[in-house]
Amino acid sequence: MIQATNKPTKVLIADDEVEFASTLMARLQLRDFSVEAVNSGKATLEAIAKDLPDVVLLDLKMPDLDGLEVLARIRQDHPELTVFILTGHGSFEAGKEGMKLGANDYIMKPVDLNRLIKKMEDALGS
Amino acid sequence: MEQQDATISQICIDTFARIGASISHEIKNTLSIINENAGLLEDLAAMAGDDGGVSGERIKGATASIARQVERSNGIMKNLNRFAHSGDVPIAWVNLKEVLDLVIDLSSRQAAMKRVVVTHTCPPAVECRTKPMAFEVLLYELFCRVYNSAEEEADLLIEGGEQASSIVVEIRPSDRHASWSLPAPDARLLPLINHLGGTFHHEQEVFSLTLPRDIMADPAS
Repeated sequence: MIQATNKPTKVLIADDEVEFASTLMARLQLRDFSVEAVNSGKATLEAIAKDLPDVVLLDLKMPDLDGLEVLARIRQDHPELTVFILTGHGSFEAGKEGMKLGANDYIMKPVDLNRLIKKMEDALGS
Repeated sequence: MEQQDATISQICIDTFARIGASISHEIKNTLSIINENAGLLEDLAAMAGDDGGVSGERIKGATASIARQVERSNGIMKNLNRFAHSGDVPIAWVNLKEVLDLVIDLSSRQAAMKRVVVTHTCPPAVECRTKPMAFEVLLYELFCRVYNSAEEEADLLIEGGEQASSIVVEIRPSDRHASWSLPAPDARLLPLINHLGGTFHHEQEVFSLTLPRDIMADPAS
C-alpha cells in the first residue's frame, strides 16, 4: 500500500458531487490516506496552491472551471503532479483531450476502490 | 416545408442526444455515490468484525445517502421517460406548468454548472395544444442558452402564464435591477419558434416567448 511509508499519501478529490467526494474521502481515510475534498474548479486550484497533494482525482464537469481547464492550469505549474481524471462524463473526446493535457489516466465512475488505489500506487511508484 | 420538417427533426434529435448524454452522466454520478456508500458499509462491517467499533451514525449516514441517490435516480429516469414519450403524438394538449417543471428539471445540471438558481411559477390550469416534443426542445434549448449567458450564481425567474389566445413564458433575472443581457434566439431556436407558430420578444432583461394556445386554431402554423 502507498501509505506504508511514514508519510501518508495526500489525495485531493475534486468533484462537484458532494456526497461522492465525501464518501470516497471517508473510505480513503479509513485506509490511512490524507484526503481533502473540494467541489469546484477554482477551489481545486486554490487547494493545490495551498498544500500540494501527491494525487489529484479530478472530475471533468464542475462549476466555474471545468476539469480540463483545471488540468491545463495544473500542468503549467506542476508537470509532475499525478492527476487522474475520475468522471461520469463518458465523452471519448474529453478523455482524449484529458490524456493530451497530461492526465495520468482517465477513469470512469463508478470506480472500484482497490483498482483506484492500485493505479495510484503504480503512478507514485510505491 | 419538407426542408423545414427535416431541420426541426434534426434539432429535436440533437437535443435528445444532449439530454441523453446529460442524464447518463447524472445517473453515473448517482451510481457512483451508491457504489461508494456500499463500499463504505462493507468497510464498516469489516471494522465491526474486527471489534473496531462502528458508529451507528456512520451506518445510518451511508444508508440514507443510498436512499437519497436511488430517489434522485428515479426522478431523473422519470423525467427522461416523460420527455421521450412527448414524441408519442405529434400534437396534443399539454399543461404548461407540467412542461416547465419537466424542462427545468431536465436542464438543472446546466444551471448547476453556472450555479444559477431558477425559480419558476405558473398557474396550474394553463394548457395549450401544441407539438409537445418541439415545445420541450425549444424550452430546453432556450433555458440552456439563458443559463450559459447568465453570470455565475445568478437568480432567474421563469414565469408561465396566458394572455388572450396565447400562452407566454417569460424569463428574467429575479432582481429586476440586475444588469444582464439575455441571448437573442439563434439559428436553432428560430425554426422551432416558427414551427410552433410562436414569437419572441426581447426587451432589456426580459425574454418573452409567446405561443398560440391552440396550434390547430392558429392559421400561421
